[in-house]
Amino acid sequence: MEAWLKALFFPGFLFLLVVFLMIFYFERKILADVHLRTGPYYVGKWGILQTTADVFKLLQKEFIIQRRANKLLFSLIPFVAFLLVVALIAFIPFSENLWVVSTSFDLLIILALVTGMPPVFFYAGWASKSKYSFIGGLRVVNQMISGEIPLWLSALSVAVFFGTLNNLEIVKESSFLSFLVLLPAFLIFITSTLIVTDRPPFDIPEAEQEVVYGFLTEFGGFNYAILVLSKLVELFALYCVAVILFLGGFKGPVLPGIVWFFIKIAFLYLFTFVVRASTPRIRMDQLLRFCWKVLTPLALLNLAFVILIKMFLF
Amino acid sequence: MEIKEALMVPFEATKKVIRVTKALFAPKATEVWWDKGVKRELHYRGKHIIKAELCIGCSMCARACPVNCIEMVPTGVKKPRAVPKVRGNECIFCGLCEDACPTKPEKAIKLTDNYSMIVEPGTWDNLYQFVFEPEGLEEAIEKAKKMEEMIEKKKREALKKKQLEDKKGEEK
Amino acid sequence: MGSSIATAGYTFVVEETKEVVGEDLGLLQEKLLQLNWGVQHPASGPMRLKVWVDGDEVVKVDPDIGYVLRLLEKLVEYRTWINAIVNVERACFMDDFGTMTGYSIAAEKIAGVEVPKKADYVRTILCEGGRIVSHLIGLGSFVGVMGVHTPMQWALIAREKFLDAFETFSGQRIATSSIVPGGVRYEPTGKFIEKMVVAVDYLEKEFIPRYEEVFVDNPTLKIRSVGVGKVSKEKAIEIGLAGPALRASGVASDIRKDYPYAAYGELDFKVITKEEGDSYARYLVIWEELKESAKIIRQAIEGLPEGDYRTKFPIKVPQGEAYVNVEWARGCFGFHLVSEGGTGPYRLKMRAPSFANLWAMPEIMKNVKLADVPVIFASLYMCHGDIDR
Repeated sequence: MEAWLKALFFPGFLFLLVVFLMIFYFERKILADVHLRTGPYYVGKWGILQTTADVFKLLQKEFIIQRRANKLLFSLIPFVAFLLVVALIAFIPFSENLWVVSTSFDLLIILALVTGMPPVFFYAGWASKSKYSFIGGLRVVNQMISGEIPLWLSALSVAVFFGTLNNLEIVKESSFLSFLVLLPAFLIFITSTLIVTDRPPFDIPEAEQEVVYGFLTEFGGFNYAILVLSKLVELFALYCVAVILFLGGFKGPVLPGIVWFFIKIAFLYLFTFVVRASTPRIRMDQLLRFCWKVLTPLALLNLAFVILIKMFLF
Repeated sequence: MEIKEALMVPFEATKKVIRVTKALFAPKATEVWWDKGVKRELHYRGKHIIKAELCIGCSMCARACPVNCIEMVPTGVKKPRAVPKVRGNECIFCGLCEDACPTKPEKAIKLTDNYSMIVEPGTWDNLYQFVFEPEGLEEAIEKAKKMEEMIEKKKREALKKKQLEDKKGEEK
Repeated sequence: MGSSIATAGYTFVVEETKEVVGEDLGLLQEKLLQLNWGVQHPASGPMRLKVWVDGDEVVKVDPDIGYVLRLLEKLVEYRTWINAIVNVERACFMDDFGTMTGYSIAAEKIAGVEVPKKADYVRTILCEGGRIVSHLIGLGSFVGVMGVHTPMQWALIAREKFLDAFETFSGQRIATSSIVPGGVRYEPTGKFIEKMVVAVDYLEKEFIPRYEEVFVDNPTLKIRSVGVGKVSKEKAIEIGLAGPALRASGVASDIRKDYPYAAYGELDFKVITKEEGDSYARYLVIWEELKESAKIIRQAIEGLPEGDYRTKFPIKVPQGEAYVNVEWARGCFGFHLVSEGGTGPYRLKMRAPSFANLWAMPEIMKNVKLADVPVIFASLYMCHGDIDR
């Protein structure tokens, strides 16, 4: 397959849309299972088309911009956010030859793009010119910056261990031993992923009961769909990175590589949904304390530990 | 909070997460009823049924109604003088009219287990015309008219008899 | 007209309305930001809280109510003695049996009607059923404001069983209007008792263990709610808290124990109190009262006597007045009923526990974070229908 075809279809836009719909569907279905409900049921077989119907409803909606809002920024932000996160997917190898781009700085580029997200979300809140959006924007910057440092540090420990930043090489060199050595880094990475993409229990910027919907409050229809899509894709990309760095990517017996990749991703998503069903949201000051006093020192210690192992064992 | 407790928080939280996963395998509580329909309990308080032939026109139900949604419609005959008509969109289905009805053994106004009341489209005009009419009103009126005629006939006959007797008495 | 109000000694403070025009809203210039936490807000319900925040700290809270005012007290004056219950029960639908019982006892006191014992027991069963239904929603909504909706869904499943029992008894699931002056409206059939036992069984054997191992003693829940909105014993009495919120501060006030009504005098139960007085203690009080209510229902079903379930209530009631307190799900609910010898009440005043809790809230919400506002609001366990009436 040629690169532009890949970018358009398989690990590209169309694929992302399908993934977005499926993840949304499974989130609802699994949450419903934990709640002892049935979940989506009537649209399509097992309600599988329910999320598609919801998204098409969103696309039909009126395009509303608040009177005081900064009109250019307000309508531009969703697309900027979407482009930023879609670029992440290009660097992810789903199987041995299914990737759009592969450079020697894959990991660095991905992390740099993730770091680019907070200003975008802050501007989304600021451009809305509404009180709750503004508070949500401030919270998102606070939270993401404090979450990104452990994310970087834990991802760097992998780079140190394997001695490369190329995703494909990392996957090729990974083994069970490397998984064991990098287990603490994995836990830190997953926790900070939840913080950076504000999933529950760290969904403070869009805490419904406190600040309505945070920076998403004033968005509606197509803009809203694209913003939510970009947030979901960010989480998806970071989970892909987690699978590549720690769980051995597409490696696995019998089944083809892409299937193994998605099995691992599904496991991580199941964990996310179950956490959402059982853990109440924590407060902003508690989160900051947790990030700076617990997570960042632990990530630093972990980096030192990996360096020591690299020095003496390999 | 002590440091020891704070350190235990992630472990405790993980424990709770694992426990909540148990619910994934528990049986579901949802009953999918939309296609099947549900049988309601014996005296479910749903749509009214008003039997005109049993009604005696005492208007106790209209007086007992807390929202004044029962209107007594005059029939033009003596018994029943008027029958109730329930405005469905104002009714709160409290069932107090049923309690107040004095007819025995069967009540003339009753709440049935018919719970599906759909007015489409739900505009004010449509809702205003959403009324529970008395059943068999015309038959009851005809019956009552016949009864009245019979009674009148009997009365006339009785009167004639009386007059005849009077005449006879006068003649004597 | 304005001058007459001024001469009567009332002053009205009109809020300054400042129209913001132009490009900038001025968000960054203002030090204190007034948030309208309410009316159109996911967690507020039909009321408005004006919350002034300084950064993330709450400076002042001012409740603004009246969005669901239905004039229930006034409407009762246009009803007869019997059908006034449909207004009384609409004070709050979460637990409608408590309010109906209170009104009925007040009306019976004026009329001098003695209620049969069976009616008393059925009232007790229904009141406790209503309390369980209300507490289940309370538990669900307390954890719900922290973004977890699992407890609410589990609670609704357990609640459904009780609603089934109520439907078997009265023919409606929520607006039952089943308790009238002079007894209860329907015969407690065997099927009703059976359904009630099924519901209590489900609550005790399925819901409580499942809930207890996840959401009681949950570490994240504790982080959020322990020490938040703390009220000491003296302060709780001073600001007039009611119900579970009062008992969580260590005051063992329960009308069921202090002034027994219905069949509570003959049943064995204990009043749950906690000493901490914070949000988590209030949550635990609700949780433990749930278990206690299930026990009361079992006792009342065992001791259900034979006999009539309703006596005749006179159409015209002699002059007089009565004040009756009942322990409603959300606290002590008072009924001041006045009769002028007519076919209906002359005046009814309802003393609502949620209203008392609401006006104690600004005192409690001092120097808390913005994220604590919904937590304290939900822990005080208020019902909007009850606040406005």
